[in-house]
Amino acid sequence: MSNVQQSGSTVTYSLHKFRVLLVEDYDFMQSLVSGMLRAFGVGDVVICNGGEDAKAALSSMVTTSKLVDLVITDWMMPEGTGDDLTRWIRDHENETMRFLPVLTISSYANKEMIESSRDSGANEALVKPLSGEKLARRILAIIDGPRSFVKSPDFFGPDRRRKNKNWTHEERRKTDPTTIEVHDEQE
Amino acid sequence: MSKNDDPVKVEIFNRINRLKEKAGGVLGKTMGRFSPTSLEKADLVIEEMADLYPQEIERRLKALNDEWARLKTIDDAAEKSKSVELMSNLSIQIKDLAGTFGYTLMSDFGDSLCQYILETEMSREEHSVIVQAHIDVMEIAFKQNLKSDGGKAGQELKETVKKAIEKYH
Repeated sequence: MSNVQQSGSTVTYSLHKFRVLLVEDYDFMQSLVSGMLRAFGVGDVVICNGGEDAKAALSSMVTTSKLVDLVITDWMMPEGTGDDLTRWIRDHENETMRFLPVLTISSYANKEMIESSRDSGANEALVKPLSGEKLARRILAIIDGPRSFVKSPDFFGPDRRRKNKNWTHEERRKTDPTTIEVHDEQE
Repeated sequence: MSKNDDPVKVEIFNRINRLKEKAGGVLGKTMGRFSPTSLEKADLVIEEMADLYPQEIERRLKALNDEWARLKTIDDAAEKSKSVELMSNLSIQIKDLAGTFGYTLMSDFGDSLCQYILETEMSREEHSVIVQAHIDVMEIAFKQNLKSDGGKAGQELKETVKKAIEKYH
């Protein structure tokens, strides 16, 4: 029996099949965020204390084919930042791992953090302090609005342009000769 | 043109949205939501943990004080650098903790201390005075249980830190 409820045309999601990796060095915040995720109905929350811990856990998950569905990582941690972890994920040889959705949580709302997080390949960024609505909004953005992934000589990750301006190839690249190869995943 | 006029290769990957399917959504259909009950439950988690704030902030302040006392005794540069990093990390934890539960003043002090430590890396003796000023006002804000911006008392504490920075930075 499905746990998904429909109200009019809006689907109420059920996250009981979701497995989320939470990377956070501060134990109190671990409890807070994992508690919120469980309140959303997330079936399994795996917690790691830092970037290195997370890399080891993800590597182990890949070998057992039990990869998480989403990574939520703190941005500023003592042993490697959230950006380091995101880059590691995006550079990974395992295809499923490379496309893992990543949500970065930061204490700072400055331009540096937003750009750094975006350029590392994170899907979304959330600025503390947390609220149920803020966290839900970011997770919903990942579920409902996944962007195409782009691989260029210096970047791999979700398309950094949020607005689809429907430019043609000609219009998009006036100066650099660019070849664009599109890969549409098949069922 | 690019440097060598070679075409730049860009690949675009359009993936099937399995996450949406897993959540019970239908591809290409309307956006979904979380149930209002689950959002309330998530906010309830924050409310319940707010009760733990006083003991948690006390624990963090003690850790900050302990590390500060330890840092002052360290001569080795590498060890000092580690200690400075720990101090900045504790400051950011205080910022996050206090900010989550509406203690804006305490959060601002945590933020200010973290920024100060990262900017200066505690390279000069004078920097100690400013760190100590931060720690002192944080202790006062905690003991007086100053919520939000702390009102008049909060402004006075902020002024104390500001003057210390102006004088010794």
